[in-house]
Amino acid sequence: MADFRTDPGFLDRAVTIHRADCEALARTSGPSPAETPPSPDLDEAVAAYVLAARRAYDGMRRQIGHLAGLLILAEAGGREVLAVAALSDAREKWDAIEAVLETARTPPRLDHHRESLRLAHHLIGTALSAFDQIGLRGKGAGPAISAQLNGAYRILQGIAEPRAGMTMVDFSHACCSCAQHANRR
Amino acid sequence: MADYSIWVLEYSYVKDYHKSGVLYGAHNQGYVKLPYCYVLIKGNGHTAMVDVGYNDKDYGKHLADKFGVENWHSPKEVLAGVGVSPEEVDTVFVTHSHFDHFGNVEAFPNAHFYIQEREISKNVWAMALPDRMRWMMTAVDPGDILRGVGLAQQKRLTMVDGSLEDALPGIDLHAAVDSHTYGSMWVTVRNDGKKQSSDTWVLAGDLVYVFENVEGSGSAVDVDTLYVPVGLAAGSQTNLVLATEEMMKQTGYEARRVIPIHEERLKDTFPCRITEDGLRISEICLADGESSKV
Repeated sequence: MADFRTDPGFLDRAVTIHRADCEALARTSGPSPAETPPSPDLDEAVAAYVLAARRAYDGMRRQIGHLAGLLILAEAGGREVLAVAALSDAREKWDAIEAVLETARTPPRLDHHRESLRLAHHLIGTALSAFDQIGLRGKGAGPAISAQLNGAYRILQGIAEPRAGMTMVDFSHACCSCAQHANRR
Repeated sequence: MADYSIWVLEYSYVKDYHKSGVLYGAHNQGYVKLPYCYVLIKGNGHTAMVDVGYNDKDYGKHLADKFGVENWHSPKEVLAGVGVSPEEVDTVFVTHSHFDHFGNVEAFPNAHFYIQEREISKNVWAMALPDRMRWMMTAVDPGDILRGVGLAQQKRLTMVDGSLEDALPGIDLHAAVDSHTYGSMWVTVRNDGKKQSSDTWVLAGDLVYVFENVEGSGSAVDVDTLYVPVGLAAGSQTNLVLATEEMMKQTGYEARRVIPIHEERLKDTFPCRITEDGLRISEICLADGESSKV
């Protein structure tokens, strides 16, 4: 198994879902680990933070899409199919993300990253509260809610880090045969 | 007599896309070029698009580095190849919400958009599921959903529930539920304007990627051809096959009238040219009085 300290590409490959026989799991890029000195930029503290931050990032990414979709349905006259616990579910997930952000141990040089995550989380929470007030069928608060969600989206987009699996679009599962481009390089 | 001209416009491509992505079960059969395209429909006083591509500034570099997507060009550059500007587009039919189809709505400021309601509602449902089920929102950019909010607030978004006849005169919309995506849609152009048209074109979105999805080899089961669904289905391959049958029925089972926009070999079936930017324009049909752009 590859070591993330000596093979930074391992993190990239590890955050995708692979078939059991995928070459990427066994593959190491570039020189063998024995030939590569440990990277000072990718120590265990950073890796631990990245794993926690990625959970929060991915959760917020999907919360933005979730709430934006509810807004579209509210604005454009969707049916009632989504009313079932949609907002309470969203609140539960928001609380879970908050717990992740609270407990993540952050290396000092990544403080700004966590602050950005917290700000995005706050904006999503504000949007959720507004949704709580107007309900799924409410009108009028849509522009304010979408502004909060757009703000959160821009923050997350600004701190995207593809090598750590933090991207606004999950391309990694978009194909049934993975690592095709990586294998060509 | 034809009411509409139809062009398939390439805006980017992947040189080596694994074949199993476009054809179910084609494992270890190598790679194919996968063009990224949208469709322009012009006639009857309308300029319409089927899908809008994606905006390179958001994740173009990532796509290029990780997936080998190359040679992206903007709608302004691409549509110029057929003498149209994005501002002239008045209608957009979004076949599904994947980033490469729904990812550039802001480039069409005067267009009214159509999408299946189920494509939004089921993605909302999927995005609320636990992390371990995140596969179910593959390739969906929450930013595109957010931009959809803007369209809805501007009253520029119509959500379609199933089929819609004459979204524009002679142009119908049809749903393929739980197939490639939860609420995929195809666009049918009855180009003679008749209800029982003998000049029908189907713009299949990602319900059909390549010709083999409609006319796959049937030698293994002793038939000439059979439907082989695309590789990626958030719903089911069964629903893809059922949708293919409906599309084929609409064209009188004339396979060349079902247009797969990711098919590189459109060039073997329709007149085409390569632009100065290295992108292909395929001319599917011309309206009466329209001049060829290839």
